[in-house]
Amino acid sequence: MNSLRELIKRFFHLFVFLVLQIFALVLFYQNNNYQHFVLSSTLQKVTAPVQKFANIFYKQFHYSSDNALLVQQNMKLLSEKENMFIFSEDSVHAVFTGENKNKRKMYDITSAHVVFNTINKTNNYIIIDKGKKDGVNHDMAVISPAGVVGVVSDVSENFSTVISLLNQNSRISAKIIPINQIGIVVWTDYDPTIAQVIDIPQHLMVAVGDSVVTSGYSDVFPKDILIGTVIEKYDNPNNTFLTIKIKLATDFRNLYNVFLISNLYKAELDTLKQNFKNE
Amino acid sequence: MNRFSKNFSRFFILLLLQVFVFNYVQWFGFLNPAVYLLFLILLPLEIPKPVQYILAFITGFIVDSFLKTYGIQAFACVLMIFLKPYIILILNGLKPLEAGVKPVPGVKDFYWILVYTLLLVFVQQITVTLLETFQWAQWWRIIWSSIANTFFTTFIILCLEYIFYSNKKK
Repeated sequence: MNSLRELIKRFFHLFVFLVLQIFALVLFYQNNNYQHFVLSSTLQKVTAPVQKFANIFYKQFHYSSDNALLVQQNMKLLSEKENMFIFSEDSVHAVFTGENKNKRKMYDITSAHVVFNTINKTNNYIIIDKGKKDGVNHDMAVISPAGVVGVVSDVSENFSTVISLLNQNSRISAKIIPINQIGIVVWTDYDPTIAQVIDIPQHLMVAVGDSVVTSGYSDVFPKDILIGTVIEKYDNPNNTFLTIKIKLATDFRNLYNVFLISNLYKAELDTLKQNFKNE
Repeated sequence: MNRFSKNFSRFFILLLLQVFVFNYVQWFGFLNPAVYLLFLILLPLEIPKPVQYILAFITGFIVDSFLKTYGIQAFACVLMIFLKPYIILILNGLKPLEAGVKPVPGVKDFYWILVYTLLLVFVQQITVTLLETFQWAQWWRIIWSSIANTFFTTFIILCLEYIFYSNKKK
């Protein structure tokens, strides 16, 4: 009996070792049964919050590549939108067959990044990192994922200057959505979140919350791009027009990705307009 | 600080490091250092063997539960801690270590520590990779990945050891 106890004492650690190893192997091999499910779902309650916490830090490293992919995707989606085309036939035949022979692309779209931006001056400008080398021209439209940003004014080899909407000289032809009335968006309040729509007569029913979008009459901006929403309107005692204040859709204080839209028929339209002026 | 609190804080800090930092290091698709092994390498030999095995199992199992590989790391850790005294015996010229001598920097020289750590980590890494892959068709990948991981892990472990033990030598 004494020698048995000695034996157990001597080999007890080997016994523990074997039991633990067999237990580990059993854990490893029971891949697809109820016990494994219970074990993994119980442990997940502890490990998942920890991994979620760690992920808060590790996902910062993926933002730039994710962002580049999203910009590509947005560009593709924007270029497929209805307002990028000159004419789309509405016939039943076209709807059912899906082919639309009269559809012609009017606008081309590229992406750019903001490298310099001011919002607190009377005339604000933005500089973007695309220039003549990338095919940027005078009078191209600049929009952000949220809405209108401005119009390209000067182009150098690698960079271009954009007259931001927050500029005394910027006048963008706009349309108030439910009543389809054409007006002009100007920036007079020196507040980077607010602009005004002028030239809307007093008798029109404009409601707070109405959308203001580009009209499509200016040959710079395609139609139906959001500029802002109405937040305040009152009758102006000095004239017969409404004073409409809109909250801009684009956050100019936080601008990084922008899209450049070029009109493919701009030269043609310009010559037509030239003739018009000579009359 | 007594031996228990020292070892416990080491266990805690190394597991946190492993779970929050080194589990996210996955370079070239196969480099994933197992730095928490430092806790098992520095575990005192005087602790009763069954307790050592159970500690190794718990450590491996915690890492397993974060990697969703139940049992693999635990198996490899217990095997490593089982072979630890025998590896020390071989490296020490088939003589057991004198009482109170620890296999740590400052007590043993650099080459001894290097070979000791390399052997222990290699045992653990090749077991993990074998169990994980479990296909002889991929024997080249098993060997290559466990050797690369062994060297990478040993490098980090030796850096940590020499950072924290160089203070005590003074």
